[in-house]
Amino acid sequence: MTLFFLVRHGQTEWSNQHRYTGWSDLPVDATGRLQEDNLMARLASESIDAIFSSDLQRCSELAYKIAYRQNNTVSLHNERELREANFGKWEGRTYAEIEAAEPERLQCWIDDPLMHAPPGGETLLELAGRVGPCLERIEAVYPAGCVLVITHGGPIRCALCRWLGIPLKNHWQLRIDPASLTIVDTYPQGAILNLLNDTHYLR
Amino acid sequence: MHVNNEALNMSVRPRPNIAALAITAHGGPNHAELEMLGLDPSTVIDFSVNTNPYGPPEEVLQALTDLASGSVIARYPDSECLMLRRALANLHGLQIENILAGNGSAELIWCIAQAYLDAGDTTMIVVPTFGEYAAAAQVAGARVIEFRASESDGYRPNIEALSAAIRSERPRVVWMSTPNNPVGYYLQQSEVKEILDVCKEAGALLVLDEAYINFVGNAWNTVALLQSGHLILLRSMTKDYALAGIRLGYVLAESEIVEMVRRVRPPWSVNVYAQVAGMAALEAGEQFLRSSRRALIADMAYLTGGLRRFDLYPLPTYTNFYIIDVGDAAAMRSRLLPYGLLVRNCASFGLPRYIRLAVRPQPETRRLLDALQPVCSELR
Repeated sequence: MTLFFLVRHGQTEWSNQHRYTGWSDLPVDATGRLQEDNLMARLASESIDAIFSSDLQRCSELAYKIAYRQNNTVSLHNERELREANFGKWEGRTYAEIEAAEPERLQCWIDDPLMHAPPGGETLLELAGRVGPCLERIEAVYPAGCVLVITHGGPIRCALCRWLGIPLKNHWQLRIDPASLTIVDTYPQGAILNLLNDTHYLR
Repeated sequence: MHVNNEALNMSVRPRPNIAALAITAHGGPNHAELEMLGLDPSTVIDFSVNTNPYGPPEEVLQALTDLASGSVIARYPDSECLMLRRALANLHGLQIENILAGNGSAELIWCIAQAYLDAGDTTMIVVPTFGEYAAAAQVAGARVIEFRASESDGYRPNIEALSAAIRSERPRVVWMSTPNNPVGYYLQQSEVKEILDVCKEAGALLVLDEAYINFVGNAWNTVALLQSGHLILLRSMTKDYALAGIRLGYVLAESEIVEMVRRVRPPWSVNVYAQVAGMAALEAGEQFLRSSRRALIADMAYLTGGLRRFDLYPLPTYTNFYIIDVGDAAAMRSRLLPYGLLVRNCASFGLPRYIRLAVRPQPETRRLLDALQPVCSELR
């Protein structure tokens, strides 16, 4: 039974402007840093065994900040497999900008993100295909532990779909805000969603 | 001709800073000590050295076996380590001129100090860290300033304070290990960039000892920062590839810097076995490192879980070892030794309350945890 605390990183300049941010390695902005402080306060009383984080700095920097605040979190790991989907040539662009430039390609992607990718980017299936095994490995190492996973919206949605038996194509129906906390308890028989997209501590 | 022997009978005098040099402590067994306890060194489980406990890749063992011939041993090795450096250049996306191999990164630490520290120069070491930088700097005659990370920060340096210290002291060389030995922290890209900027301003050379970088997994790429001309990356193949007995390390830097360090490195310091082992290890490469990391993550979880039952909480780590506040590290070390278990007393790092434990396979960890039962009760 691994207890997962799934955290999405804090706000970045691009996320605030609704620009697609996948593998681009942006830091969190000033608002994001405030969000991080509030998040850290929320997590301070939790007993976390390990932190697995996307290796992009908006996640990995938060990981070590949290580790040094917690009393007994010990091992820290950067995982490339926990990165957001790669948005390829569409990195840094807004929906409107892409729609103006490549309306058909965009529509294909919107209609079937499992099988279609942004040019040079990843499909949703590819994203889920790397996030799933990563979580399995974590569960195998910490079968009775509490693990904090600091990652991005896409991987968290994939994780939830996988654990809760939600079809991946419905991923968009799960909202994951910046610096939000989602808690899932995994068991051999299945997973229990305990908390989804909590942001009350950010106010 | 009569020679006045008394007048000429002067004693041989070493350099004053050598005579004053303290012995640098390192991990590993003290054979005399083990002998006194009636312990055979080969039976001792060594948690005090941070090498990959799963041993070197199969490729290395095969390559070394193939090498055991009189004709090979009789010939001088390639002093320029061309084949090995080509393989490393390929791995790191650099030119061969950016790479220098040495007899362990230990030799290269001494060469860097010889090349860049003159007598009276100031050098700054971010402590707690590996003790060899200080030894090498002192022998070069440099004035060593320690920037000590504070306990309240978990012994992780405050980058702003460190930057201010570099600006004010203007050292010639700044030494840091990342991942840090013994603490286990790992510097983020933004932090290293900030320190490097300050070093550039101050005309300092930043030495980053990345001996444990391959235990991190998805480490960010420090090689990209070499262009600054103020950075040397120090790498070791003794920990990750378990080649401690072979002795092999290398530096990565701009070619001008590599050339200076090369000039003070003794010739033929990388023997034929080390060169062949290094190339074989690189062939095993990322796949070997990844599977080592996977095993060690599980082993660490097992050790951490076990320590928790004794109310022992290590500091956060990114690598394959961590430090633990046990109150009296010397006492803990000596109580564990009769059980055939060796842990590192961190007193030489300025942390006499802490022991450092390397992650080892679970059956060996089991023995440590079993021994901690009586030892912890005794020490309470």
